[in-house]
Formats: sequence, C-alpha cells, structure tokens
Amino acid sequence: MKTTLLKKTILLAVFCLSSAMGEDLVYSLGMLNGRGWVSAGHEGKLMYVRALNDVFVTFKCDESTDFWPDNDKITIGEIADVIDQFFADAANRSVPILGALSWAKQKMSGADAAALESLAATLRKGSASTK
Amino acid sequence: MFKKTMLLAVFCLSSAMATESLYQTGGVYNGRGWLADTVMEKLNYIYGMSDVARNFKCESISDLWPGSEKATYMEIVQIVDQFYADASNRAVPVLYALGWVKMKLRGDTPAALEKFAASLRRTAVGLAK
Repeated sequence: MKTTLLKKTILLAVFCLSSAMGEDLVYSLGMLNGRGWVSAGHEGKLMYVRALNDVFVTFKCDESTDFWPDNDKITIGEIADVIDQFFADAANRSVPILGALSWAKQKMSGADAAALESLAATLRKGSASTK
Repeated sequence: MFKKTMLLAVFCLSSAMATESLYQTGGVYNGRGWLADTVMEKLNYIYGMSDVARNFKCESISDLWPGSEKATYMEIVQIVDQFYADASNRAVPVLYALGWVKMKLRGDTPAALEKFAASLRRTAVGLAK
C-alpha cells in the first residue's frame, strides 16, 4: 500500500517536473515560440493571430508595420498558414512566433527566397543567443 | 440536382459569413466568439495578447492588458469568462474586456466595475455602427 502511494507520488513529481520543463521549452525571449505554435491546434493558432490582429487593428503600435501585413485582404488563416510554413523547418522552432510573423510579412510582401532564408537565419541566431 | 447543390453552397457560405460577423464587433473579436472557444483556444488568444503587449509600444494597451497584475493566464481567461457570463456584454471586444479584468484584479469596487462595463457596452454599440 505504502509502496503504491510512494510510486504514485514519484510519478506525479516526475510529471510535474517534465510539465514545468515543457513549459520552458515553448518560450524564447519571454515569448511563445514555434514549439508552442506547432502544439496548438488549428483554432488555437488562429486565436493567437486574431489577438495580434485585434491589437494592430485597434491601436497604433510602433514598429507593427515590420510584423503585420499592410494588405487588409490577407486573412488571419493565411497568416497562420505562412507561419506554419516557417515552423515546418524544425530548426526554426525556438524562434518566437512574433519573429515568424515578421518572416511571414516579408514573404507575403514578395521577398525572394535568399532574403527569407537570411532573415530566418538571423531569427535563429537571435533566439539561440538569449536563453 | 445542380440547383440544389448551388443553393446549399450559398446557404453554407452565407451562414459561415453571418457567424463570422456575429463573432466580431468593429472587426475585432468579441464575447460571442470567446464563449464558443475551448479553454486552450482562449489561452492562445491571451498568449498572443501578452506577446504583443510586452513587445510593442501601442497606445492604450497598458490600460487594458492585465499582465502587470499578479495573475496566471488561466486566471485571466476565467475572469474574461465572468465578464461574458452577463449576456449584455457579449458584443464587447475581448480586447476591451481585458481592461475590466485588469480593474477586477487590482481590486476595483463592484460599482466601478459595473460603470466600466456599461461604458464598454456603449463603446461596442458605437463600434458596431
């Protein structure tokens, strides 16, 4: 009986510890990163992008033009799909979602493959340098 | 048969568009959409809001974002749910409801909260026009 209880307690402790470590893995530079993104369902991804949309549509934000598409015909679903493309490369998963958003903005604005790869590399470096 | 298929397609499209507009007030997500979401989806909205509030200088966002109060994202989600438990608040954008959450977390009185909620309802009416 005591052994079973001890076993359960240890299992719970291990679970809590791994959950806590998992939580750290989904953050980079204090922001949700690609691991958090890929583990969210489709609707969850839309909700994240929707929150950004609500702020950028409602308020004037400094530097938001580097991140948010200035074409209002682009849908939230399309933005989420392009972010998915960025995180399809597992090497990009420690980049914050906001970094991926700046890449998506460049891609949707017509940046060429070399410029996009250069930006992705810069974002990977930025995420790797600050833990 | 073709006619029926076309009618069905038009019906589906128009009902999807109607749902989308019901879930937004002035192009911004509102309480009807919020209440239709799962807890995880709501949390993702709060994550997005947090990332933007902490990394961009946006006018008025500091008045609304409750991140400076001591609360977990799950608690923020639960207090937003409380705000929308009153059906008359459902047209208020979630973004503004967060201002009510911030006030509640910092200990504002029920009267102040109700006064602010009423002003948000008026704002929602203005946004919907």
